[in-house]
Amino acid sequence: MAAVLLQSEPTETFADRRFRFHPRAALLAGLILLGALIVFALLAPLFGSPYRVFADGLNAQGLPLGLGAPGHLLGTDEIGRDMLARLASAGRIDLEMTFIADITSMGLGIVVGLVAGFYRGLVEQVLMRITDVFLSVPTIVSGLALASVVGEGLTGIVVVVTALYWAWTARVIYGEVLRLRSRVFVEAAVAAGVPRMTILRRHIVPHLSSLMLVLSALNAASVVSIGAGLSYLGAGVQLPRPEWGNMLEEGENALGYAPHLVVEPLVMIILTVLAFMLISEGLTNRGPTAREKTWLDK
Amino acid sequence: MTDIPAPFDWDEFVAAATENQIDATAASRRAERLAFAGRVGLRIVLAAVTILAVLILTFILEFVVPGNPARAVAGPKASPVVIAEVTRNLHLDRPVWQQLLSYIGNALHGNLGYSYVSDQSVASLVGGRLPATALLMAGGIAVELIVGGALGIWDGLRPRRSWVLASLNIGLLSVPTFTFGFALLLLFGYVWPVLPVTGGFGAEQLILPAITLGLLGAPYYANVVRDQLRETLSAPFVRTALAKGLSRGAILRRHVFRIVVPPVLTMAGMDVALFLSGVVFVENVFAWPGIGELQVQAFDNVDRPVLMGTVVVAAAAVVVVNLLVDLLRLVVDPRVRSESL
Repeated sequence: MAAVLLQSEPTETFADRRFRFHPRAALLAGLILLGALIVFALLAPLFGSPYRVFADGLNAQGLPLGLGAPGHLLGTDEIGRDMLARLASAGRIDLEMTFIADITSMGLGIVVGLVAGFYRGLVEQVLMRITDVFLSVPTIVSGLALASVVGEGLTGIVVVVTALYWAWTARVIYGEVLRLRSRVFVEAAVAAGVPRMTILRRHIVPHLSSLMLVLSALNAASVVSIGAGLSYLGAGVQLPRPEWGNMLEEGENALGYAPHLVVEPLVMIILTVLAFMLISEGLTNRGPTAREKTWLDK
Repeated sequence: MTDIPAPFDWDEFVAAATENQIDATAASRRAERLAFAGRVGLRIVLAAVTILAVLILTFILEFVVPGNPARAVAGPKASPVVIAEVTRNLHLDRPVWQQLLSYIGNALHGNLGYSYVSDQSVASLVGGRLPATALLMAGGIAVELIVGGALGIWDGLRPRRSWVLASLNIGLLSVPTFTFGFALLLLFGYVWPVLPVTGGFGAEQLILPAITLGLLGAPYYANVVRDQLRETLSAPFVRTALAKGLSRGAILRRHVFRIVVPPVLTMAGMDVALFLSGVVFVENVFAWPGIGELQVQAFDNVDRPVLMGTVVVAAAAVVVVNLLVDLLRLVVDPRVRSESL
């Protein structure tokens, strides 16, 4: 019976393989996409000033030029500024914000998670209860409240995003440290008299490195959407300095006659988030259990 | 004469043993019940502590960080006399800890202060907006469960993870909430104008925002439903049912879905926190009169009491719903009871 069951294990056919989602391909696609976005943002000065108002920037009816207009590949906005220049210049600030806020929020979360997981007792209880508090406040609602206090601009957004997002990382890292610290190699190190800090540095942190990479890619994806989202709601980077979120706010009223003012920043935001999502998807190791054959499969 | 031991009475022995057994079972049940009550009590206390911590945080943001709140109330051009009066009215001349205590005391009595802009109480402002937000979230969760459940079941009944779901998942997860709202608004409001774009409170206005909220969460649910389904399908009782000759439909209905559905429903409860963030964007894109729109208005007016009051109400809602979900899980699923916190 067992032999029969073993033989009935699925064998991968060519058709299955063709449509499988390849982790490596996802990682590569994500990295290429992110690289392209960074290059686009770095080349911003080539596309001209984002503030320059072109005399031929509006058509005869005074409406913004659409896609593919001569001299303005991506059209112009409502007062005749070049959309390509604005998008690229906005990309700089968006990517800058993403990287800084990703590092700060991940850093805080990792430190809290490591400390809470490694030093048990009172420290752990206090830190994790604080983490729970931050996990239970709805992000955007409290983000706006916080933004009204810490102020506008890039620093404001970085502070808000860090305050709102560190707890998620802390929670995951904490759980993983708890799992790791009961492993045999930690026990062996303790028995051998290795100092606690050394155990943390040499045995715990290296095991967390791949998880940290996945988390920071996921975190970056949230940071992009929250940063742009807060700017859209009026917090964060302020006009006239272009940023994808506040470009949306600006173009919102023109949705009826110049949809490209909204669609273009939208596409940029989606591409950036997609790049980070693909990277995290490619870095995640999917367990083999998801591919086990079940009794109802023919 | 030595005592002759009483003949061994089998019936008596069984009776005594059974009684002991019953005693032991009763005692262990009592202990279990006590531990259960303790756990429930601890969860309630933790929830209360969380709300208290949120109150302290909002207090710090509202009264300590900005420097001089009286100036914020009176406006930038107010004379020193007016500022002194506002300071006295708001009790800002008292020590910080007294201010904090009265802030918390007021909040526990439902008084979250008064709007700087409209002189209405924060509680009535937020309370007036809550039904709209609750309706929107209910709509979103309904869409999410229906679409996510259907996708997850479809994918779960296939032997291999479908590339359709995998791509859909990563695709929809990459779309920020407000972005998707804009896309829907553009499609169904302007390109193919079948739904109103003016916003407001009504059934027709609810469709697009609910779809925006729900559709973005759907792939996540699809994944959870799929994983649960796969796990359950490989359980031995499914093999037994198959061997008994039950049809596939009957196996799914009678045995599988009963296990898959409860965890998915408890997850829906936990979504409240996520949705309370999402609604801010959705309400603003679609001009739906809920607490998200209120929050953005308050932000534009630098109306700190309303900003902080909304945070308190939203956080309290999340904490209470999470507590209810936790307790429900404790009651429904015996496996959770033995878990530590």
